[in-house]
Amino acid sequence: MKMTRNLPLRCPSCLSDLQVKSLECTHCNTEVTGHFDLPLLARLSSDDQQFIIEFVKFSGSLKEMSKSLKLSYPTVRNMLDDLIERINNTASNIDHHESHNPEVL
Amino acid sequence: MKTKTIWIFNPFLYIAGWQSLTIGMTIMLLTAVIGYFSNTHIDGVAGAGFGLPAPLWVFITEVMIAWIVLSLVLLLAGKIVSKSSFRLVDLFGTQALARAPMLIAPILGFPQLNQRVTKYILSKFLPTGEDITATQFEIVVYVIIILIMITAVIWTITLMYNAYRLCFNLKGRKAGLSFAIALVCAHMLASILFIVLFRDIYLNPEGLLDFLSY
Repeated sequence: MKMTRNLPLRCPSCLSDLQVKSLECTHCNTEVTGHFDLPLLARLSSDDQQFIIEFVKFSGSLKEMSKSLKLSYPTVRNMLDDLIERINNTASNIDHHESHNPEVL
Repeated sequence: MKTKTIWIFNPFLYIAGWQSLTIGMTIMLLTAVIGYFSNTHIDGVAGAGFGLPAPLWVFITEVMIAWIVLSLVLLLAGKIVSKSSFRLVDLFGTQALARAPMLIAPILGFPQLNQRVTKYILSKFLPTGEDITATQFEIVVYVIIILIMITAVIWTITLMYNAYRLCFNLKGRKAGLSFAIALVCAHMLASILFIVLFRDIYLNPEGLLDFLSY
């Protein structure tokens, strides 16, 4: 069975947002190092990311999505509402972080 | 086990909209029809009473008023406290289905001993001159009926609350407080409507309330 490895988003020590420090080409082993911010979508939980993927797959139809998930329409709409709120919070956290740490830009 | 609890107290996670409206309307009509045969009136947004015989349309109107008044007041409350979008069919549909436990009320009205035992208990405190008797067995059955009715009312209110929370995506204190206020207002409004519309049915020839209500 393949082990699922979740991308850590928070520092286990101080709970600050983590950044990407290095990227590696698995083909030629070239490594790029630096400070790269995680994109907004990558900062969401895997469940939220999965919801977004399903939402796009169903062309944004909550009705079709609720049928597929075997949940009622308002349940799925509430899941979307809560996700929108989390996206807004994450985005405002990024803005807040960037305005307080201009050197990261 | 958890899924079973969800189905009992919050089936709206799985059923809403037209589906819940159809099931809810069917149960409400059944409640009215059985109530017609057992003289059980729906006399509040989440209550029932064993009263006098009346035409079938009265029982149907009572159920409809209880459902529509509460749904409209919750609609107003939800519009005030929630920013979330909602569908009217979800609100009216889930509130209709939430009334399902009230189906037990007209069934409990069949023993026909409720009014007699109520009169017997009242005569103990307010002597009317009438010679009313009740056996110990009848009193025990009466107490069991009341306990089942109270459970059904609590279950109905829990379902109504969960339906309201879901329809307007409300959580915590905001949901609880707005629902409680809306429920009280709707109950008062519905009670006034019932008295205005069905005064002759609720009051006996002496002008007294001839009704056992929960």
